[in-house]
Parts: sequence; C-alpha cells; structure tokens
Amino acid sequence: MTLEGKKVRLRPISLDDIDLALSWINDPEVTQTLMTGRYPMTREAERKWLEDHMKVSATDIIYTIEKLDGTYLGGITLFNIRPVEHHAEVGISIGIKSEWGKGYGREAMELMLRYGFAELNLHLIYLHVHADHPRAVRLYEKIGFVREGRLRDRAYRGGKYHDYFAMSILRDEWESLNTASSGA
Amino acid sequence: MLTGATLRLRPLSAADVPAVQQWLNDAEIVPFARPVTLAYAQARVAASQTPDERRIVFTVESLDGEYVGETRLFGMDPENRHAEWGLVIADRARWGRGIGKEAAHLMLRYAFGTLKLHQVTARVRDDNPRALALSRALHFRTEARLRARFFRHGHYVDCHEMSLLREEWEAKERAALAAAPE
Repeated sequence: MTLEGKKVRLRPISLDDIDLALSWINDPEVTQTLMTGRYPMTREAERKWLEDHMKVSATDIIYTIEKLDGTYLGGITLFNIRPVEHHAEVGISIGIKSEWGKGYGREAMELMLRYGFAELNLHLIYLHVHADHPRAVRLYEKIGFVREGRLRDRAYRGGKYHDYFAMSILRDEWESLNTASSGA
Repeated sequence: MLTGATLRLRPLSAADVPAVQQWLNDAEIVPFARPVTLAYAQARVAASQTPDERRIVFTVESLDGEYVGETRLFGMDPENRHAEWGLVIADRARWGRGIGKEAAHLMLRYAFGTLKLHQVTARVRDDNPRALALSRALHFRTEARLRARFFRHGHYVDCHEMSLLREEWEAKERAALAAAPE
C-alpha cells in the first residue's frame, strides 16, 4: 500500500534506497537525535537490513518517504505494533539534510497517523524524542501529540546523558483534530 | 547467587518450568494471560538460562529452596548503561509480607554495585498499587504517565514510567548505613 499526500509519498522500501539511506545513517548530524546510527553501518549490513524488512510483518511497518517526483527523503516506521493493546510506536527521519524545514516530515507523520488509526485500527500511537531537539518536539505537538513526561538520561551521546520526552496521541484526539480541520 | 535475610536470587533451572508455567497463566500476574503451554514455558526458561548481554534473569527462592518468583533486568543497553527491571512474586500467599522489597534490594545492589549501571527503570500499571508502593519505597521516581499502554478486563490501563539513578541509589544506601545501629 502506498500513501500519497500533497508533498510526499510513503512507498515500500527498495534495495535501490541503499546508497541514499547509507549516506544519512552514517552521518552523525542526522543521527545525533535518533535512536540509531551509533555504529558504522556497512553497505552489506544495510542491504541485509533492507532485505530483512521487506518481509511482510504484523509488528513493523516501514516506508520510504519520497517527494511526489520520486526524490528520496528518508524513512518512517510504525513498530512494536501490539494486537491486544492496539498501539504502536512511530519513528521518522528526513535523512537528506538539504530538505529539512520544508514540511515533508510533518506530512509524512500525518500520513502515517492516518494509516495507523484509519487502516490499522490503532487506539494509540506513541514516540520518544530527544528533549533537547525543540524543532522536533514542536512539530509533534503541532500534529497533536501530547507530552506524557520527561524520561531522564535515556540516551548517552556526545559525552553526556540526554533526556527523552514520551509523547502520544489517542485515536479520539486524532479524530477530533481531523474533524475540526476538515470542517473549517 | 545473591543471598539476603530470607531470600536468594539464583540462576533459573529446568526444575522451575512448572512454577513458571503456572504464573504465566495467572491473569492477576500477567496483564493479558494467554494459554501458556508446557513447551512454551520450557522454551522461556531455556532462553532465560542462555547468556544474553541485554537480559539477566534470576529465580527468587526462599533460603530453604522454595520457588517464590522471578526477577529480571532487560532491555539492557551497554552505552546508555540502563536496564528495565521486572519482578514477579508468583506465590500469592507471600504477597504483602515484604518479600518483594527484599528481592528488590538484592537486585538493585546487583544492578548498581556489580553491573555498575547508571539507571534502572520500571514500568508499573496504575491498577497495581502494591508494585507502585514498592517502587516508591525504593525511591523510584515517576517520570511519565504513559497512556493506555495496557489492556485488561475490557479497559485500557495507564502506567507509570519510573526510574532510579545510580547516585540516588547510592545516597539512599549511605543514609541507610548511617542510620543502622552499631
């Protein structure tokens, strides 16, 4: 299933993504606020990751984010999908730095929320974000995520510990936000 | 082997399988109890006996060797130096007698003293007041209220995400030592 918005498209991952994906996964400027990228990622390991994640999974849904003209932007994942609790965690990266700040991440996240609630019938979607990454925190708040608390010292990077915010959005909250905007 | 006044934490053994199967099927203990077969319990015990850098599991037993429950550190992360802590007192007749507190002290001393962790985290459901009281008594701090992470008996249940930092644990240990009679 492909998800299309006004600026971006979420499409299945492909082995053709390997070079662009590697370029940001090994770039500390991109990964310093992510929960990945601590180790040198080889081309072989990246290929294996892509191959392993091409199998259809009930617990992890992974999309490549691209512009409508097909330009690669990054990836977005709905993972730890739980069938009893009906919740999942979401993670996103716009890996191409020159494309930051253009609203692509926001639309990709909105497409993923719609998919999670309207197609997968989830009750809640949650995420973790570095507390000292205000650009991301603001974006998630604008989209409708609520701060649940501040988790101390969960990430060690650059010689010190950093806090995370735990954030989540309930299906009811998502529905009322989307009804309000479409009615306006 | 970690020994306290009335309890011991020891490695799991194949003899634990029937007791493990029993509490895995107890809906009061496991948030949503699925039918757990003997084969599943065997595999789970076998996995817990296998060395794993992300997980350390002990059986909790009385000093005369009776099975009491299980405690584990999991989601261990070598760079962040934290682990999530879990504790099950399987024998309900022992609930409310301070058994959990003794097991917790042994585990925290191991986590901070032996493994030199920076932080131990715990996740406690809102509908588990005993676990919440124990975690607070151990000076765990609630950092977040995570919404709807569990589903039990027809309702979504929130939980507390809690943690105890190494320096907090050390300060508490020093205070306990200073208060102890000669």
